[in-house]
Amino acid sequence: MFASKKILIVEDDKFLRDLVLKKLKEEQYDTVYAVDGEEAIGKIKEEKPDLVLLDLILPSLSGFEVLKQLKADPQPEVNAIPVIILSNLGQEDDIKKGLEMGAKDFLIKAHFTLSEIIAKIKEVLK
Amino acid sequence: MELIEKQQAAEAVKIVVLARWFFVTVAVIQVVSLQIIAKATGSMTLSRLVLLSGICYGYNFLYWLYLRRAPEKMSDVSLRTVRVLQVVGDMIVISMMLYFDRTVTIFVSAFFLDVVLIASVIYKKLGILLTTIATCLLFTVLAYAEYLGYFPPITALYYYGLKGNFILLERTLIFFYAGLGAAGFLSGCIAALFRRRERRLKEQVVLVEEARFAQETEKNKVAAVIQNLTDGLMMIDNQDKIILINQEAEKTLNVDKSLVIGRTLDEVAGDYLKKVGQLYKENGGQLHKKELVISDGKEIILELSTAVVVDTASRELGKLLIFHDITREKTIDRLKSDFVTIAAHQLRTPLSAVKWALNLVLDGDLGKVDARQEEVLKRGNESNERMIVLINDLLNVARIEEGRFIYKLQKLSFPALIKEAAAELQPFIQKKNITLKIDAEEIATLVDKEKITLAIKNLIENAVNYSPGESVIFVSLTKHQDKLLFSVKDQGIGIPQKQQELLYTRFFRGSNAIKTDTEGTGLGLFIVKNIIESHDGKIWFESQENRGTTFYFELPIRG
Repeated sequence: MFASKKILIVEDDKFLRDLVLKKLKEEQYDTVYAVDGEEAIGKIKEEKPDLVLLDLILPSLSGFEVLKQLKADPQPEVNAIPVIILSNLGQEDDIKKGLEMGAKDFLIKAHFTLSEIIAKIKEVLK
Repeated sequence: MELIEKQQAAEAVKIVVLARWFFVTVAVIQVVSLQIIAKATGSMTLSRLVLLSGICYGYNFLYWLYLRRAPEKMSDVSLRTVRVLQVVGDMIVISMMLYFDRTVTIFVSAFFLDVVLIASVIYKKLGILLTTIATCLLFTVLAYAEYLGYFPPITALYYYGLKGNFILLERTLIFFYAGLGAAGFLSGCIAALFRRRERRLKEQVVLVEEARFAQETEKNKVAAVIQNLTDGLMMIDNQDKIILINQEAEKTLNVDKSLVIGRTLDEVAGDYLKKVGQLYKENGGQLHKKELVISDGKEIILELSTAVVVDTASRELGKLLIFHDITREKTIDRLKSDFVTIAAHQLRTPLSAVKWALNLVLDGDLGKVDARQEEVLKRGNESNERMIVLINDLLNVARIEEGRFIYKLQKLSFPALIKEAAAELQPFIQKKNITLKIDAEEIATLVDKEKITLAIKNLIENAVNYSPGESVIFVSLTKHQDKLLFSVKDQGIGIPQKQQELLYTRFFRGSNAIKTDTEGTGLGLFIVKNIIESHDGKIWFESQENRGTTFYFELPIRG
């Protein structure tokens, strides 16, 4: 079997985070998590995950700020990490902003089941 | 006497005094010329003539002096006396003239006519009558005096006088009465005529004055209304000159009335007014609820409208610019939609958790689920989904109300959008065993993809929702010149006639719809209508209860 991909989940809501982690583990992914923006930045640099699931409304740094710093990082193994935004913000302005900043996709949590989210992750990691 | 009466009386006397200067002079010339031409020397010597005319000029001068005073300073008594003296004084002088002339029958007696004329200028009817009678009496006395020989004998040879000649006396008197009576009557009539005219004129003046007052009051009322209106108002004439501005407009636009009246919108100073002028020009002088944002520390949002002002003959007099301050409404709107956005975000989080949790169990990720458990969890999941839809609807409504609903227009194939929407609804359609027949012409136009898909989905979803199982729903798309026509026809429960008008109202649901499907939000058609209208389209429907409904929308084909 190929080495399992490492996914960083940035989510401040514990229950949501646990559900995602459970599903990801079920799907044989390596998982790391962060509960706020600062921690996310640290984990990204430290762990260099294969993909980041990023919430937008976070304590300390917002998801947009995390995305900006990630994309602005000089190291190619950091700034090339694909990011999927997973948020309950769903205004067109937010979506446009997220995609323009380099996110691979913008998923509204309430509109996707975990299986659908996994499908999107697989698509991005292909 | 009232002041106005005094003024009129003094005026009349003044005319008489002025006339007297003239006719005394004429009389002097007449007497002198008679004496020279007719050699009727009599006893009217130069000294007597000078005396008589001197008396006349004298008292006339006194009257003139008296009349130089302002009427309000004349006492009632003095004025009445002067009026009476006008007639009496002249009568005395004329009598003296006749006495010195030795006879009453010569031309001089015609001067008595002047007395009647004076009376007609100064007095009313009764005064004229009394003067005429008094003059007749005086003449009778004088004539009798001559008849009885009290007048000195006349020296003129060719004239015999009245002395002892009763027949001549009689004739002279009758002649005099008739002449003077006629003159008195005529001048009375003329005086009455003038007085009537004067009265009518006065009445008219009063009427005009009243009308003017009424108009003035009306004008003041209108002006007060305009001044105190809570909306700003400005009127510009056909040359774009500002001719009216009310307090509120002065205040909001921060201008001074005196500096803008009579100037055009281009000429005036003041940044706000310039902005208004610009907006006015850009829209060709016609504004309807156009928003204008001015900020002076704090932001003020104005809604500008114009109205054409026409006179009764429908001629354009200018335009009215109306400034309605909608800052407060806008703020409340914004607060409301901010609230909805935040609330929606906050509500979505727990709903996501429920959704994910249920799906995790349903997918069997946490161990096998038996059929009964699955059934309950599925129901729970459906309820949760409906909640998510409701929140999306609420968010859409909030965005519609903010006026920033339509986002990005792209040219897209309309049949593809229909297919996409139908595909999303497929599980739902199959569940009711409904046949969906789509007949769509290939048309591409500029649309906001997400919104139009939402509208199509909503209409098909409604059709499915309110149709009996195993029925057929027809979806059609046709091209009509530069427009496309979309329709969804069902064989469902229809919309009750009475409720058809309310259909697009937020949260409204048909009475039969509530019974059929308890879960609708009543927001769908409100959103659809807004989507279609913001694409410059039109939506309508035909419906018969228990027979079915057909929804249509028409969009311009663009791009």
